[in-house]
Amino acid sequence: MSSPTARELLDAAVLGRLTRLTLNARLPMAGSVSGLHRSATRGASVEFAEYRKYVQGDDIRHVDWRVFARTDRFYIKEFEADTNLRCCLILDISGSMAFAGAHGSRLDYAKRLLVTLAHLLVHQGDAAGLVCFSDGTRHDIPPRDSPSHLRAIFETVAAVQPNGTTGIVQTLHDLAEKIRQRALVIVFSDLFTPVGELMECFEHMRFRKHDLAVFHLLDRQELDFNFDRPIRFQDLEGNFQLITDPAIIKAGYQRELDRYLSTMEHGCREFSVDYHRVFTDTDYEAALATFLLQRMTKKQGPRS
Amino acid sequence: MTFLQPWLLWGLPVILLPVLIHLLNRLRYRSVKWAAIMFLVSATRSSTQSARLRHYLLMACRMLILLLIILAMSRPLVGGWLGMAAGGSPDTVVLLLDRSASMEAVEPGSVASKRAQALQRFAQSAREGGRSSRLVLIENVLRTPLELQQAAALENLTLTAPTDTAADLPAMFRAAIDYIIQNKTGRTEIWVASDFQESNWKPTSREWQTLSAQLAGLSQDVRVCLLGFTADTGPNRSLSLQSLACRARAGRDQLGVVLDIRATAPPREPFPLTICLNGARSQVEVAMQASQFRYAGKLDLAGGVGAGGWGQAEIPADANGRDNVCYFAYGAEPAGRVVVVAENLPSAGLLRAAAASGTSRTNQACETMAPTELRQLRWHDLALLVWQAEAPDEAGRATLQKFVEEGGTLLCLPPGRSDKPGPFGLQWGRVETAAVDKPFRVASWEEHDGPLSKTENGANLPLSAVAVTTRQLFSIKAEAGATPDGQGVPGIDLAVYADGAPFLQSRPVGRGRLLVGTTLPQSDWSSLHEGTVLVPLMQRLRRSGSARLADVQVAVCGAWRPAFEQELWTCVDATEPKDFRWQAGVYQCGAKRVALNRPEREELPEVVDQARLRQLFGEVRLHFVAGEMARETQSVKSEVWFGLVCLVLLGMLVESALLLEGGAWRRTRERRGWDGEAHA
Repeated sequence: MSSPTARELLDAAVLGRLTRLTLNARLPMAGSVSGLHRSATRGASVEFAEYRKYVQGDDIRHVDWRVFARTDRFYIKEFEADTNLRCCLILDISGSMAFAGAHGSRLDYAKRLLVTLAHLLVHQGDAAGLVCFSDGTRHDIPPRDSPSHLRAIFETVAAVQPNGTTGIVQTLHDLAEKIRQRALVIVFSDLFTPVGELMECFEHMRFRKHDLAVFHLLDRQELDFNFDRPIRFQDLEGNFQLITDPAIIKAGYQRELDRYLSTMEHGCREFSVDYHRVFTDTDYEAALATFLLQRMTKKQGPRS
Repeated sequence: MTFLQPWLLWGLPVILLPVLIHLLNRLRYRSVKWAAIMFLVSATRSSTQSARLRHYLLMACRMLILLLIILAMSRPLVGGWLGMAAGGSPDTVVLLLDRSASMEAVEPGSVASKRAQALQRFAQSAREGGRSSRLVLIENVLRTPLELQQAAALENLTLTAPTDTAADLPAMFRAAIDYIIQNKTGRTEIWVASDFQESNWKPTSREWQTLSAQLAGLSQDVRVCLLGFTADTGPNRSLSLQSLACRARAGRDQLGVVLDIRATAPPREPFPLTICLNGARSQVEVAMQASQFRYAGKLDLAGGVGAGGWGQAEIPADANGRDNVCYFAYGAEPAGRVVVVAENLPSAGLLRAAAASGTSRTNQACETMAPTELRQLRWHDLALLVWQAEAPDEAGRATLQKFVEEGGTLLCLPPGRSDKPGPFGLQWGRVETAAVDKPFRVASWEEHDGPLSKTENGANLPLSAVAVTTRQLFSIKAEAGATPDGQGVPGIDLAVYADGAPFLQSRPVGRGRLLVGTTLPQSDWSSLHEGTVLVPLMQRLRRSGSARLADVQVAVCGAWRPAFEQELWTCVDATEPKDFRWQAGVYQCGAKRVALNRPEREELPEVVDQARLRQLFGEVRLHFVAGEMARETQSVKSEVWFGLVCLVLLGMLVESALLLEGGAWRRTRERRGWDGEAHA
C-alpha cells in the first residue's frame, strides 16, 4: 500500500473543526514575538502578575506611585508577558512504525496527527519544526511560523518511509541539548525501547524546561495478541525471527506488556510528560481533540 | 490384565492425536511482521517455561484422558489387590437350573422338592449377600438366558416350575458360555442346581472337553459353583410306558400295554395301578416282590384302532410326584417306506432286509433304486432314505433338502470312492483299510438316546463287537442351497472309533436329520452285515422317520416338537391348561394327537460323583457349595472400568483448571480497564 500524499494527509473538515481549539503550552514558553502563550519573563500585557520591591537598575516608569504614596516604599508593578512557542514535532520513522494492523499503518496514523498539529500550530502563530528519526536523525527542519515552511514539513512527512532501528533515546538526548529555548516537544512513536532509558530522556527534556508531549501509538492486536496457530514473528527492525505457539507465550507476553505499560505510565506521571496512549483503530480527530482539550485545561501551570 | 473387548486396544494410537495436532500446528505456521518483538523475547525468556510446562501438562492430560477412555471401553479385568478393591461380588451370576423330572423328588424330612429347595437357597443366599450382581437364569427346557431383576422372583416364574423333561447339562453350559461371550459379562459365577444325574450330565460326552476348554479360556474370571442335591430320597416308585401295540385278535382290536414299575425299595403292601382308557377306569393290585415290576395288559378297543383314543396309567403318590403317571395314545399306524438309493451296492439287499424285516407281520416295505430314478420316487409317504451315491442334480437336491427339512431321515453311506461329493456338501475322504486281526473298533456311542440307544430290556447294542476293516471318513462343507440349520449346527457323534473318528454322525437339518455312516454292511467292509446292530439301527431310523407321517404319536416330553410352530396343541387329559414343552400329558391338534411322557432315563439312579465332576471341568475353578455364596478372596479378577471413568472425569477437571489458568491474565486486564480507549 502506497503512502498517502501531503494532500491526503490533511483533511479540511477535520482542520475546520479543530481550528476552534488552540494548542496551548502547559509551561511558560520563551518565544520571540507576542503570542498566545505565557512567557517565562514579565512583559507588558494587561494581565497583572505581581508586585516586587524596587531594586537599583529598575526602570522607574514601572514604579507604582500609588503604593509609594501609601507605604512610602518603592514597588515595581509587573505584568504577564504573552509570547509565541516553538514546537518541535518528532516523528519516529523506524521499521517498527511500519506495523499495520486491521486499520492501517502506524506511521500513516502518526503522519496524520503530525501534519494536522503542524497546521494548527502555524495558523495560531506558533513556529513548528520537524525531526524524523530512526537509528539517527533523518530529517531536521527547524521551527518556523511561515506557511511556506509548513509546506516543507508536509512534503517531508509525506515522503518519509519506515526503515531502520529505533534510536529514540539518543535522538531525544540530542534534541534536549540542541533546542536552546523552552519549547513544546511532541513525540510520535511506538516507544518500543526499554522504559528506563526512555525515562532518562524524558527527565533530560524536562530538565531543559521543555514541555514534552508523547503520542504512544499502539495497535490493538499488539495488546490482545490473539492468534490461533503457531506464528513466525519477523522483527520489523531487523532479521530476528521467532517461531512460537502464541498459546504458550501469550500469558508471558501480556505480562511483559502489562509491566511495560505500567512503568511507562508511572514514569510519565513522575516527569510531568503529557502522555497519550493512542490505538490506531481510533479516529485521529478524536485523539487530537482529546489532546487539545486536555492541554487547554492544563494551561494554568506553574512558572518554572 | 485381560480385556473383555481387546480389539478396542487397536485404538490406542489415538492417544497420539494431541501430539500430532500439536506438531501439525507447528508445521502450518504463518508469518507475521511484528513490532513489539522485545516483549516476545522477554516472554520467551522469562515466563515461557511455566507456560510451556502448562502446555505440555495439558497435552499429557489429554493423552491420558484418551488412554483411559480406550482402556475403559476395552473393559479390563484386573487381578491382585486392585481386583479385590474393585469388588468381591461377581458382575454376573448365571443360574443353570436343572428342573428335570428327577429334581421333583422330595428328600426325607422335607416337604419341598430338590428344585424348590435349590431355588429357595439360591434366593436366600443372594438376598443375604446383598449382591448387586446381574442374575441370569438358564433352565433345561428352553435354554434361553433370562435376566432377572431379583432372585426372589425365581420361585414365582413359569420357567422355574416343575417339568417332566430331562436335562442336557452340556447344552446348558454351552448356552451359558454363549451368553458370557456375547454379553462380555465380566467376572462371572455359574451356579448349577442339579441332582447330578448321570443321564443328564452325560459325563462320557466328548463335548465336555470343548466346554471345559472354553470356560478355562475365557478372558473373564469364571467360577463354577455346584449346588448339588444328591441325598437319597424317600421310598419312591416310578411308572413308565414300555411299549404300546395295537393288534387284532379274534375280530376284536386290542391295545397291548406294557408298563414298568421301578421302586427304590420293594413296597411291603400291594398298591393299585389305575389305567384309564378313553375315560373308562380299571384298577389292578400290584404286589412287588423286587425293585422292578412289569405289567403287561391287553385293553379292548371298543371303537377299533382306526377310531383312535388315549389313556393314562397311574400309581399312588410317593416321594416324587412326577413319575407316578404315564400317558399313551393310539391310532392307525402309518406305513412309512424305506428307499435305498445306490449306484451299485452289493449290500442293498441287506439294507432292504434290515429296514423291512418282518414283512410277514407288518406292511412295511423297502425298495431300492438308482440315482437316475430319483424323479420317480414318491416322497409323501417316505420315512427313511438311504443314500449311497454322488450328489443329485439341482432339482433332485432341492427335493432331497425339502424331504429332510420336513422331518425325513437321510442316511448317507460311503460310496467307496472320493472323487465326487455326496448330498448336503458331504466330502468323502480316502478309503482306509485295517488288518483283519486289528480292525477298527467302536469305542463309545450314545447309549441313552438315538438309534444306538439301549434296547427295551436295557441291553446295549453289541457295537463293541462290530469289526470294521474298511472305512471311509468324511467332512461336511456348506454348499449352496443348504439350509442355515444344516450349515450352522455341528454334527453329533453317535458312535466313534477308538481313534476318535466318527462311526456314525447325526446332524439336524430342519425338523429332520442327516446321518452319515463311515462303513458298509458288507463282509469286506465290516461285520455289520451280521445284523445285530444293523437291524435295530435301520428299524429305529425307519420308525423315527415315520413319526412325521403319523397322526398319533407317543413321544418324549421335552424332545418332541410340533411339525409347525403355528399349530395350537391343547391338553385333553386335564382341565387346566398345560404346556407341551415341559409337561407330560395328552395333547391334541385337530386330528393329530400326541402322548408325552417324561424321558425314561430320568428314572436312572446313577449320579456323577465329585471326582468325576472335577475331571469333567479340568482347569475350571470348581466349588461345591453347601448353600451359601462364599465371598471370593483369592486371585479375583474384577472389572475396573468404573474406576477408569472416574479417572477420566478427574482428568477433564484438571484439563479445565489448566485452561482456566491461561485465561487469568485476560480477566486481570479487563479488571484494570486497559481494553478501553486511549489512555490519558
